Amino acid sequence: MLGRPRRTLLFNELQIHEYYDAYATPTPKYMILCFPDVGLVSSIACRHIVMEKKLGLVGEIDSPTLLPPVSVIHESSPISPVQLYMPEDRSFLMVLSEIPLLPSSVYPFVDAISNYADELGVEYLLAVTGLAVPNRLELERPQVFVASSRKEVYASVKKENIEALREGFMVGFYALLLKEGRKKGFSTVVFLVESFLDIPDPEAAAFGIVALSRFAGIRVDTTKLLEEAELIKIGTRDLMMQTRKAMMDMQKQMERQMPLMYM
Amino acid sequence: MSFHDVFDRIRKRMRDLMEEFEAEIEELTQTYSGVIQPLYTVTEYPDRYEVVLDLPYGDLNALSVKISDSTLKIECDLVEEIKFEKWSIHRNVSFKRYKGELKIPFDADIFGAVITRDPKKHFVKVVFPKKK
Repeated sequence: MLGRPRRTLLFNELQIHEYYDAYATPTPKYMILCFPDVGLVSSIACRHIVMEKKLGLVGEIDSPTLLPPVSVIHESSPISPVQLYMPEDRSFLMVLSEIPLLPSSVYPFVDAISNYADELGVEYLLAVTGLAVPNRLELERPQVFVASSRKEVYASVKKENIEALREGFMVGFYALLLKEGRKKGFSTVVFLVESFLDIPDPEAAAFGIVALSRFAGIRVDTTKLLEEAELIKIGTRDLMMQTRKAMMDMQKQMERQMPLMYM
Repeated sequence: MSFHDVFDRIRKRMRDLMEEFEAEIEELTQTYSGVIQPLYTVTEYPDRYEVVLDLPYGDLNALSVKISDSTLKIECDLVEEIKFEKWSIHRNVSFKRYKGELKIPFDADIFGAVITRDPKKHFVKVVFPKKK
């Protein structure tokens, strides 16, 4: 069971509790962010990375005002629903939320996490999420797109058949992450995989993992994820229903609109 | 705003809250009896509505789809019982069946509905043309 944190950092209304030495070397080059969103692509992908790479729980993020009064019990240990994970080689840090954020909590989370990444010296903020498409059922291989705060990223992923997201609205955590990343000068990279909007999509998550692992050089086998896809869909059903409500509150349907300045 | 408008608003809000509450109770009752409501997504096109229902572990040979005036009712057995034993509140529950219903848009032509199944991926698609 986790004991008391080694250190607690305060970022306005958010507390980051560390159970590891944040300044030991090597400094994690990447921070992978996972908040429930379209098709639970992000959640399913990151859960799989935690399991497959046997990541250790190294911290948690809590807030008396921005999160509901929730504890998640894992291995009989009560922890925050927003957790930090890291592999033994410290190559990356992962922030994983087991609950969808309220619209009013999104900005404080993006702000705190990007400032924390800056404090640690992380080079890239990465994420995988879904891009809802109406014809998902007919797609054998969903297309992966990329959105980034850095222009050079688009050229580097082109050889992997990953297209740049050129026009469109984005809504939610990853939308703010990209916008804030550009304004503050952080390198943020979000891979968007064509997926269902409100049905868990493990297959899309597997494509997202492949894109992420090639970009960051993190080897993750997706065989088990695809084998367990049906079970994962049943297991994540309730989270999908909660996330659907949260997406509606965030005006997620706006992503289907064409921007006014599109030309 | 008139007095009646205020009461109408209060009445509507109370009705919405009651419907939400009843849906949650229904969901809980079904879950404890081993029945799962399927997830679905509805897409509107200019000429039709497409409803995609996700039935992981569903035995599509044991699928029942009934369409009435305003609802689509679906029932389907699972190919095997599913248990989540480490999940404390459901440790004694085996999930055996899907059962759910959803409201059909008023301008959907229920007589022109076409149902297709994808037994490999366990999806069912129901296409309703729009009434002309």
